[in-house]
Amino acid sequence: MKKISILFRHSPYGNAASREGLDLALLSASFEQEVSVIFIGEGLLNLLPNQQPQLSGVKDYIATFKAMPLYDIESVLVCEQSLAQLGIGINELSLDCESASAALISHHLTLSDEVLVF
Amino acid sequence: MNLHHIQTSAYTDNALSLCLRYYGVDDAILLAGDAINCLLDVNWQTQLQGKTLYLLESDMLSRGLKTKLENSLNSSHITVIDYAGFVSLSLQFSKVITW
Amino acid sequence: MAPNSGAFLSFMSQFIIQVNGSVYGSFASVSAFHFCQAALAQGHRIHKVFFYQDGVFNANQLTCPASDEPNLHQQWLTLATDHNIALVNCVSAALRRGIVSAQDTTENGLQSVNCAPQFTMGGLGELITGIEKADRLISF
Repeated sequence: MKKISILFRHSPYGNAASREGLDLALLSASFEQEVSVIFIGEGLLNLLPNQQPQLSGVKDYIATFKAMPLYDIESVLVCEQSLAQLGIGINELSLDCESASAALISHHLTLSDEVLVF
Repeated sequence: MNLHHIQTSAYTDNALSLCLRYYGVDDAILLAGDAINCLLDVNWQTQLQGKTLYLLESDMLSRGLKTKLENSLNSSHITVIDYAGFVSLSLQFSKVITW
Repeated sequence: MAPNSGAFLSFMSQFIIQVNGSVYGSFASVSAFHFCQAALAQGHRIHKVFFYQDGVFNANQLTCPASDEPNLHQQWLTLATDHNIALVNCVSAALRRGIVSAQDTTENGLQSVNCAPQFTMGGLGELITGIEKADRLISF
């Protein structure tokens, strides 16, 4: 078992990075890795409620983010600096997450065995 | 001890600026491909001050940037490496984070 | 835990390589290829190159650059054969992008095949088990 951190840094719909990162996060967890997911920069836009992905011509993969706790992805961090920058409150997000300082995220990356960025 | 691997230009992608936000004291940054272009820019030179930097030689030479980057390279915190050096670095650091 | 001491460096390490960039027009795949060559030259082992996202385009056997241009698809095939490296495509990423094996063609009632037979179609589980087995994952 390895400690794997998956970072989301891209907004949804502009490209498939978040969708394919989510696939990997869920699969890693089902392969019994210790998985953390971290939302930074525009990546946290994946967690906004009331999205309508079909209007952008893509499958609603956004709803699947809510399944992360079922897959035993315990640690969901959101960069507090990015939240402030984009004017989004932690309570507005569609998922229970922990607001994390840059220093905490940095520490988390150091403790991970591998980090994959999407 | 992370090696942050940046492959994209700082002018078209925020990979480098995000990586700087989470840069730890024992970390280093490897600039590859278009990521090396930012070293031409005084503002970026300032932002990267105090960071341990590696630069992929083939990407600098392919872009004709060797002379242009001479001043930056004289600064002690930048080391020019080839792919063999990249392989060695990837083993010296505890992991490589590709942004 | 991945070995991390200086003393270990003289020994052989195991790498898994992840390629997310296309066969043409992206720097990532070229860079991954150079990294693989350098690692093998140092005596390290690369047990798998896993192609995800746009990386799956590297499997396209219809890739047809002009004769005076590098053919990265062909270079991957040669490297894999010479060094016994598994080339694995993420099957769902490949199907979405129209990279199909003979089996996918049959299963989906398609007209043609473009995935080179040296590339196998696998699930993301292959990436995870590869990461577990390797000392280092290097993504491009």
